[in-house]
Amino acid sequence: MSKKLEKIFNKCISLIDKGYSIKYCLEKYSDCRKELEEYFAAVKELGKLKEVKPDSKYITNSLNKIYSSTETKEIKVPKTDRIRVGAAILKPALIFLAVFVFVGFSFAGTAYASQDSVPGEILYPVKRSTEDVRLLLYPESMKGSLHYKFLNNRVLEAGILLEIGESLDIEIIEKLLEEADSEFRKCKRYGYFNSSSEEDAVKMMEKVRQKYQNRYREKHKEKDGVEEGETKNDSECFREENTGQNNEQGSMEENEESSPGKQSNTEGKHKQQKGKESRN
Amino acid sequence: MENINSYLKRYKNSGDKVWFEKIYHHYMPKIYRFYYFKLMDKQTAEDLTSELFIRVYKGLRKTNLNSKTFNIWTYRIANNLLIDHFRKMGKVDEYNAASEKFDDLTKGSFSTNSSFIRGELGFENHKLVTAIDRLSKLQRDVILLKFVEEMDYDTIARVLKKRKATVRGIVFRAITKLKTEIKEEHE
Repeated sequence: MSKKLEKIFNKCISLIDKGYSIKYCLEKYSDCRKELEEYFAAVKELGKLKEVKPDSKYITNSLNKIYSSTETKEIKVPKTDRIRVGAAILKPALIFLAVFVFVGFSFAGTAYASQDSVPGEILYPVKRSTEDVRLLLYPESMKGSLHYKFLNNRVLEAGILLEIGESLDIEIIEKLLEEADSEFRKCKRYGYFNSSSEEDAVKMMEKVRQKYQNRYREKHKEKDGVEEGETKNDSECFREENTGQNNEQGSMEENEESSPGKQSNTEGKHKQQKGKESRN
Repeated sequence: MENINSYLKRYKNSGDKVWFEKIYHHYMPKIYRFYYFKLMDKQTAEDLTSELFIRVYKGLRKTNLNSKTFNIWTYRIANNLLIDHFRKMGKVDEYNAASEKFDDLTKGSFSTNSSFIRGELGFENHKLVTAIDRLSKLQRDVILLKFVEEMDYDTIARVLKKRKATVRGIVFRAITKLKTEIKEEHE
């Protein structure tokens, strides 16, 4: 019954939506007239709620409020102001961008220009800082090649100093050679070398050390005007020490497996001491 | 309805406030009632109605609506504003998009404002309102939209995002319950 009534009630509602009256519906479904009358009484009751209406004063005020809310917003941001607001933001942004680009490019330029510098030049510290930064940024797997590059740099710098430098600065060259040694060790630690490249690196380092020794000898001669015999003694001494050194080398090799030029480096140091003694 | 269609079309084409005002005067009492029966607070109902028509005024010309779709669009905005209102009231924690929770927020607002209703609606309507208060939130929404705002089933289904058949069932059950409640009140 309830299902049937629901069906009839909904049919009546559809008819009323189409413009038919309640009376027409009650007549059409006269079988359920009593029940339908009760339902429509409730619907009629609900219709009373339409009496709830806003005040006429409120209706007018609200309309004014709607218009004013949109108008005030238009006044707040007129078109001309919008452009100014845009410019006010854009201008500092553009200036900042220009400064940033300028600073960025000049730094990049400086870093690039510093790549050919040697110790003693203004840009040399920049070169070294760039190397440090690269070392920080590169992944572990590429650090071996980077150290090899630095090793080349140090050797090259020492070579240039030996070629061009008028007054031989022993401390700087010694330091460069020590650094080259340390880079060589790092290359080895990172497993960068194969047998041929390691040999090349050793040869390269040996060559520059040889050059340093020759140059040192020349300089020594020029400065002190030492006699040839003394130089001979000196070189004999050096040779003796060298052989002595060779005896000790066996034990040293265990500690410094990776510094092939260390021996000649220490030779240089000994020569240096000798030179000083003879000067005194 | 034909008139509303023509007002909407003319307002969209010309932007003349005259046509907007015609639409406003037709829908404004409906929206006011929607809020009024949800909140039982005249002042808040007025504020929310104004806020809704500000939004409608700003957006109407950008849309392409007829009377039916305008109805759906407006009631959806009205519902969103109501949710925002509850959030602002600090009921945000209680609020949940699920209709059951929403029901909890609105249920009882009829009876708790009984003195207000008596003053505003008269004693007879007060009885009716008490009976409505005993319905579920969904039943209440559906019968108010159907018999007070005179929407067809299709529009109600789209406003409430329900199936048409479901809406029909809810209407019948709500009226059956209401009929019994009113009968009991009279006895």
